[in-house]
Amino acid sequence: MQHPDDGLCPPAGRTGSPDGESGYYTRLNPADGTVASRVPAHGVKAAVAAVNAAARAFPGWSGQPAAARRAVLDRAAGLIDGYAPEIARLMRAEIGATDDWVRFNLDIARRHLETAADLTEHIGGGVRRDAEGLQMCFRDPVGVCLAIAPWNAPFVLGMRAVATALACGNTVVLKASENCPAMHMLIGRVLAEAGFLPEGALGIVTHAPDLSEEIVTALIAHDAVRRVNFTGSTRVGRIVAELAGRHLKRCLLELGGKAPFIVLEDADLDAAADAAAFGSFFNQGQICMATDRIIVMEQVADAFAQRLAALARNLRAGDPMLGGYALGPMVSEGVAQRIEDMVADAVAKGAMVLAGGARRGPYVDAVVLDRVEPGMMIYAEECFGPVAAICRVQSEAEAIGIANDTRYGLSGAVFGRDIAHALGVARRIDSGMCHVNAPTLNDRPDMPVGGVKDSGFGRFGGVQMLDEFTETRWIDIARAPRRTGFGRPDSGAGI
Amino acid sequence: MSSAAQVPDPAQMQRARTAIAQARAAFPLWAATDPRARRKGLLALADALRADAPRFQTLAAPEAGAETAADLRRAVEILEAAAGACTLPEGSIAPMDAAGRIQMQLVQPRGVCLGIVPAVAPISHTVRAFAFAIALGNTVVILPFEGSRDVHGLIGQCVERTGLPPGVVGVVPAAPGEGTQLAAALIAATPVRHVSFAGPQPAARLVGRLAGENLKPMLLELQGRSVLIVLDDADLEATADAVLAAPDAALGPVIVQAAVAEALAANIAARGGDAGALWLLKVPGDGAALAAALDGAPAPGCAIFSRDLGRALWLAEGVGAANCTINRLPLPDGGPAASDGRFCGASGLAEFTERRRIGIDAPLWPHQP
Repeated sequence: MQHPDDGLCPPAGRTGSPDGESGYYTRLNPADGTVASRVPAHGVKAAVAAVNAAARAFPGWSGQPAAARRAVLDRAAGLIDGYAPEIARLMRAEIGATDDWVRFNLDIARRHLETAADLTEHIGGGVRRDAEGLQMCFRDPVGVCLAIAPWNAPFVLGMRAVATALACGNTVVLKASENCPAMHMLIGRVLAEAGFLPEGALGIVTHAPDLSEEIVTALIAHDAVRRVNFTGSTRVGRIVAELAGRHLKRCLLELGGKAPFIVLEDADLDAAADAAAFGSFFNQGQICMATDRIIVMEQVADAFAQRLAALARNLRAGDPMLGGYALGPMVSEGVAQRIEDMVADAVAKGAMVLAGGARRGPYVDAVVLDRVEPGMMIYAEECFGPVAAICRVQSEAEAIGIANDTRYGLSGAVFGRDIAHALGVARRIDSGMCHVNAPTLNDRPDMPVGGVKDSGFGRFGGVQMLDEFTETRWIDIARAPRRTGFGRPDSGAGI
Repeated sequence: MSSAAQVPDPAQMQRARTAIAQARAAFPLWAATDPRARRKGLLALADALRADAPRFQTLAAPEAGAETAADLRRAVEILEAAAGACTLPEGSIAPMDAAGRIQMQLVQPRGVCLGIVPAVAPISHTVRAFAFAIALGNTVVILPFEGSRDVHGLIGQCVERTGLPPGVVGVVPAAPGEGTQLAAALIAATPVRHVSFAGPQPAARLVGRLAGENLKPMLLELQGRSVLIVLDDADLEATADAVLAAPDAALGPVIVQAAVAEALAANIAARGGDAGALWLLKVPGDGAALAAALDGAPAPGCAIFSRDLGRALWLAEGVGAANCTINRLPLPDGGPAASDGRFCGASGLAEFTERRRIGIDAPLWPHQP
């Protein structure tokens, strides 16, 4: 599927233009087309230079004791409040973020830094004594990590792409998204101000949209780059994985999703509607874990749909600068157009609009679609817009079937009062994460966040994340110099 | 503990000393034995116990056939779980300090472990007292506190037949009433580095005091009556079945929410039980149920009956019993062997090993030019 903007394709419409002559790239505000930010338009040469600088910084940074790395990350977490006004301004200007979305980004990004700081205590290794000697497994830093972060949660996803990598003693090159380049540059400023990062330890590559593919290709191919982490669309994730595979670089991919949200017969319908609205409409649905397919048992479908529609009718989209709107603009007018087309396609094929539906430029109010069925665009594709799509089912087996009838598997949710039962349903959803009686949107730096199937592989967060940013090396010391007796017919036993 | 504690005869004391000496002598070699060989030994012992099922049955009272079968099954599960732990123990390497020095914590077996075992479920309790301990390279001396029985002898025979080196598992036979004196002598013995005990509270106090006096790390599992908590949304028929299935000696207070107390009694009566014989505590709500459970004597087990798993889980976290189950009794089936108290699983790994710090004073940074 064509993702709204995934970092490799030029954003549609009027949202940006390369400014090659001056060596700058201008990102335009999706709400009003004014200039949101002006950043250096780097080319491949500069990107390669950033990796070289990171490679030079690596011995110095990896040679810091864990406590020193911890201190930098903790200090950075403490600096976030001071940057809050600037972050809010940039997030509004570059991606049309609402105040709630800014607060969410500040809070979770801070927790990413704190969690990464804590992880420094776990970067050591294991050791075992046995008859052959001392078997040590060291968790060592890997070298330069390439981080590719998307625009939709600029501060959170940019921060998590670099924080743990730095905590583990690596140096990092962050390829900024062309939709929020100033926000991604600001991550570098926060960490630099936190101090002690050697020159080049965190490089940020901003660029004009048309150079994206060329730059990513050069970065992944660079010998010094040892790991790649990517958050973004499945379409681009596949390209990144292919490139990483060709160059035998391990990669961590968190890609698109089609999170199912199952409402069982005994669910608390008010709580379910609240969580569904949050999951479907927060940040205009432009979140990989957004609630994308609401699967409701027929017996409670009318009552649930009424509640959700009532909530949605109050969720209007407007310019976040004016305040008072729950939803901001879509990242571009082209994306808004695509949402309108998807809704029209569903309606043409029999779905009913219970709330929202019309588009005003880049603005789309919260939409509730009932009776969504296979064959509709919105049933199969990742929506990435403020649309709550309700599928009615007759049985639990059918509910689980529809939940798993997708090539994605990132998040999910199940609502039901009988928790043992709901837990049983959750365990049968084929996804990396699933929440019982809680929204599909749940980002916690201390828990493993990631997907299965076309939603990617590897995990951001939790101790599982250490594997993504360290190399485990087995080093042993033989009890005594070991003689194999190789080649001597009388003593083959040592081999 | 028996008040009529007897002084063991000198020959008995000598046998205890011999068992300790054999365990001490066996330890260095057993600790250095390839974990794969230890694993093989544990699995062979599991097979030997299984093969001897008919003999274990003949030792038990005819009416206890099913109990013995369950006891034996559990013992076999524990041995198999312990076999899987032989290769697990791994120490840690701390993050490097400012000078690039590394400090590691090696995980090593403790040495001779003393396992004091009760008379109930003798096969699984005995096996549990040594399975993870020997898997991790310790040697073990078993003392049946309430007097040894033929079943301990039979377990000893199985151990011998398995070909485990002499001294890896030794059983000190004890006459009824001798347990106290023998325990005192064994706990004080210098080579004993860890004491474990499972049994009733008075004996646990004695063992705890002796181990404390001798500065021996200890694992005490107090056996006692389980608490039942019946919430107002419980399936009362299933609850009544569980109450009646519980052995009298294992059942402590039944804390029931007042709204369903009568209905529970009626369900018990309908099944031919006598609700009057139960120790029923009526409470108004969840908070009061939790308070009642915490107010009583510490219970090793707690069963909570409720259709609302969320409610039951919150209570289970609060009650403080080591073994808590939801909608079934905590004992005797207990759950997977690897989760059996602190004797098995991850807790067993920690219990039957000690960590030794070793620091190397040299800069050992990776990736330095």
